[in-house]
Amino acid sequence: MSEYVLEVQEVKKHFKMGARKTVKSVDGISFAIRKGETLGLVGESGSGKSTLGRTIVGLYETTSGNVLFNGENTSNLNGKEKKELSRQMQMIFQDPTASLNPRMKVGDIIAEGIDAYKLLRGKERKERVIELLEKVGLHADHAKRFPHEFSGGQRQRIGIARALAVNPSFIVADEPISALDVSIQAQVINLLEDLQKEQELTYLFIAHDLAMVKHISDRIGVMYMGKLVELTTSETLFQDPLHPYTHALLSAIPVTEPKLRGTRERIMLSGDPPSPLNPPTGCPFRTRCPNAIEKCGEEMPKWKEIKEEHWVACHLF
Amino acid sequence: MSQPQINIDHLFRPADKESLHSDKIARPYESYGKEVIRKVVKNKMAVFGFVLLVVIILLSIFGPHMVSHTPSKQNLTQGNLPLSSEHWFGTDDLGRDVWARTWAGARISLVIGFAAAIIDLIIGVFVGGVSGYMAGRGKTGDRIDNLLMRIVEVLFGIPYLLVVILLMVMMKPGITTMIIALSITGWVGMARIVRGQILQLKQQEFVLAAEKLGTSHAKIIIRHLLPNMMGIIIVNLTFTIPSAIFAESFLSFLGLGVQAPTASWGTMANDSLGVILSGQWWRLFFPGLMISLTMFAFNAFGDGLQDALDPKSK
Amino acid sequence: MSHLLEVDDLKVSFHVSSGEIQALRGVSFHVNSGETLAVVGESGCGKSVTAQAIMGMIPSPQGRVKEGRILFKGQDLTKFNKKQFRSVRGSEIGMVFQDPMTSLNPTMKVGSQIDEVLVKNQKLSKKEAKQKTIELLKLVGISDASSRYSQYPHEFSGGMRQRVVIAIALACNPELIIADEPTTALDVTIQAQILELLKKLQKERNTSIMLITHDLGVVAEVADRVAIMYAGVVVESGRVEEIFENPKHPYTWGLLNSVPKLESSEKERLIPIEGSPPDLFAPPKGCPFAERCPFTMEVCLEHMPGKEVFSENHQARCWLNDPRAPKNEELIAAGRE
Ligand SMILES: Nc1ncnc2c1ncn2[C@@H]1O[C@H](COP(=O)(O)OP(=O)(O)O)[C@@H](O)[C@H]1O
Ligand SMILES: Nc1ncnc2c1ncn2[C@@H]1O[C@H](COP(=O)(O)OP(=O)(O)O)[C@@H](O)[C@H]1O
Ligand code: SF4
Ligand SMILES: [Mg+2]
Ligand SMILES: [Mg+2]
Repeated sequence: MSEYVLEVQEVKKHFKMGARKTVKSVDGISFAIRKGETLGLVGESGSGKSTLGRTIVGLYETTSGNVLFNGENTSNLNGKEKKELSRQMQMIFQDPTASLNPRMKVGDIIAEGIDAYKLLRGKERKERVIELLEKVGLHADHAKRFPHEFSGGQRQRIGIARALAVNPSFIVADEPISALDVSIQAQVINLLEDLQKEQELTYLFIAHDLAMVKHISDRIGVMYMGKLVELTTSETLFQDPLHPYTHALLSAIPVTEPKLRGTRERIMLSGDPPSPLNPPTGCPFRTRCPNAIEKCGEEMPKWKEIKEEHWVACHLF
Repeated sequence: MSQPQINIDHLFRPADKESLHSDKIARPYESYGKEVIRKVVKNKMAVFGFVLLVVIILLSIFGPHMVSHTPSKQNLTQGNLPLSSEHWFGTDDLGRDVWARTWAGARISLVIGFAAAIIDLIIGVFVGGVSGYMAGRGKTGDRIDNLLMRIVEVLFGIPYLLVVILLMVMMKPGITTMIIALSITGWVGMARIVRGQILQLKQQEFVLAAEKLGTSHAKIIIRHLLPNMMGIIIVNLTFTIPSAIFAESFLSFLGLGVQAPTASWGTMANDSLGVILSGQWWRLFFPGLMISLTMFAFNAFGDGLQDALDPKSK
Repeated sequence: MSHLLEVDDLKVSFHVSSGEIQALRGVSFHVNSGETLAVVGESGCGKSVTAQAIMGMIPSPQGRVKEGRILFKGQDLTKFNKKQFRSVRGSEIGMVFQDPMTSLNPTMKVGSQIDEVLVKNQKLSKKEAKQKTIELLKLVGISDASSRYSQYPHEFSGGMRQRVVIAIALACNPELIIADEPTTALDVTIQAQILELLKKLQKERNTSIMLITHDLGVVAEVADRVAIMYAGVVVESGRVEEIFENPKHPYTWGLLNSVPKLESSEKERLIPIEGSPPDLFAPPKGCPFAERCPFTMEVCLEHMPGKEVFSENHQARCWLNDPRAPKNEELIAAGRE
């Protein structure tokens, strides 16, 4: 078995828009995640983060490329094996309201996976639901309530309990804290960290709050228009970023204290991100890149490991 | 600093917080069904519509038995009598009791209305549901969706009236024929609405979550999709029913629906056309009034329900 | 000095079927001319309702100002009727909302929407208005303004739409702009641009800004003063340095603690505020933060703390600042860190 829990090889996910147009939401992405690791994924909205996450866990079929889980190609499996593998990869969703069925009781929501896999029944099922509720910091009597009676943070914890119910080993967390208040975000992050330690979970953590991503991730990947543009350890990404887009992204983070105001040199990106229906030739970032050279318009830069553990796709390197 | 009047000095010591747990839910709980009912009850028109409906339904069941005359019993000596304690709504030219006939007609109308509703529910919801759910699910899925939607489009283009007329040629006119005609075309509106709803709901994260957890297609449709569109389905029914009722009366009036001597609001109105000028207003007035009241009742109730189901309303 | 805007003991309630939601329970703060006041707090604490009250936009009939005054240039806005509000909005107070599409008409050209405001409020001719609109679009950083003038909102990106909304808010040279989470829905790179824009406009035009946000980073970037709201009351207010360096309320400590420190390289565990804010349907009678506060005393559960004043600008509502409170300096220092 390889060192990696998950290997993503040249994965593409294109959506047909009408007869002729396609959106290349994910366009040839490769990376791998080690057991017990948290890989952070950042990028502006529309860059394809959710699509990548959903493709990895099998909610979307890949247009091309492979997703390997524990060394097995997920698309080669069928029937029972596929179902078993699918159980091990779960997902936590972004919207605390839309991710819970408003017409179902919390207990049934959490037990959804238990029922689908026929894991437990009757009293045992009930006990497991209570155990899960308590694990995420809720109370046993919450099982009989409906989602709208809970606050955003509580609902997000229900979503986490639901994913945990089937004992996954890998979880894609798609912006699980974006919709929560600052004081509540920390609750959820701590919960995710504790669970990771307890159950040896591996995370793909999608977010747009760079400080939070830095806090939780071992390595961070930066996406732009369906492509990974940089991937390295959290430390290196913040101390020694290479890609011009990463530079711009980091420079845009607001300061944490007023006395630091003005200490961060801002790289203001000109213009808007290009339309995904009509991406630029060559490097997708070249239309806004302050350092673009002629070659950038001509060919797509290769995804290469510049230094150990430091991948980047840019003609400057 | 505003000092409270009473002495609070002794209260400056750590509180016992065991008794507090901040994840409790303070707001009194109201189930969705109760909330909808409360909102409908607040809407006077909707309540009025609902009461009217109940009265009409009760009278259609008991109305004919409240008088000693049967709807079809003729008594030529008693023709064209005005309202009296004997004949509450008067009689027609053949001496039949208009009260009894009106409520017999109500039965036909309601049967047609509820038949339309059942057809909508069974065929419309099924076709719309399958088609919306399969859309975007690989090649086979898209093919199923396309096929069903083609059928719906074709049927949508055929006017109900035309189908009825064609069927009349082949079968004998009557309530059965009308229900068959309804089953052929009546459900397409519902199918389209359901499909649109499903397409929207399917993108919701809770459906993706269910799919990720290995929930079966049937269960996803039954537990996740349908319950979240019940409101829209019911509202749509409250508008399907009156339009089917109106269609029945209209066709019977034209002689294409229920045939005389069976009493229907349409045939009664038709029968009385020649005589209203001679002053027997009751023969047209009561069936006409009932058509209007029934339509109004369903629409008022449906409107109220629609408002109540709108989560933005308070 | 008198303030441009002064909100004094404002109480607003919503009456719904199950009872009364006391959204604002005595909110007081002020905005001086030319400064940025950041209003910070968890969702549901009443930030938007405060903005709605100032602009006379509280949804009626369920919502109602029960008590208090809103003085804008000395006039009490709570006494205004609809017509008076309309003339104040647009010409003296500009508004920017979180979702730019709520303030833009999707079927109307962007330029015409700004023209309309100018023609209506400043009585400009069509031609003058167009010229001014193009100037405004340039001012808010929309390149190619004259061709952008005749495009529709859907042809703009989220960040560009927010710029257009800011242009509309600026159209009549308002003295105060109320911005309700203007960057919450935007990406960081776009957020940085919008914040720069607000700073620049303020410098050039001396406009006052009341900026509603829940992001302490945004506060640290642009605010002069800060009002921290919790469960319908302002629990602490002060100059931005005072709030960040010498906060006096446990809720403020909690907020500052729950964001990860970008600068530190060690991986420290985050310190969240446990629990969730109280339901304003049944607000606690004492300190609203008592349930979640690590320092709760018995008095906190029974009595609402009064305002303790620390400096000209800095005040907080917490019993810990009362001289009778036990001097658990160490604990407090630990809580602050
Ligand atoms: N089901 C879909 N059909 C068509 N286009 C889609 C679909 N899902 C996502 N997209 C498009 O793919 C791109 C990436 O979207 P998404 O993965 O949601 O980005 P992110 O999560 O980074 O914000 C967007 O341009 C979006 O419009
Ligand atoms: N139209 C309304 N009807 C009923 N309650 C409302 C309404 N608007 C706001 N509220 C309530 O007032 C409180 C404050 O809301 P709001 O000011 O929107 O919070 P935020 O600080 O997130 O902007 C919340 O508890 C909310 O439920
Ligand atoms: S008043 Fe009491 S409960 Fe409230 S913040 Fe201060 S110490 Fe905590
Ligand atoms: Mg996303
Ligand atoms: Mg708000």
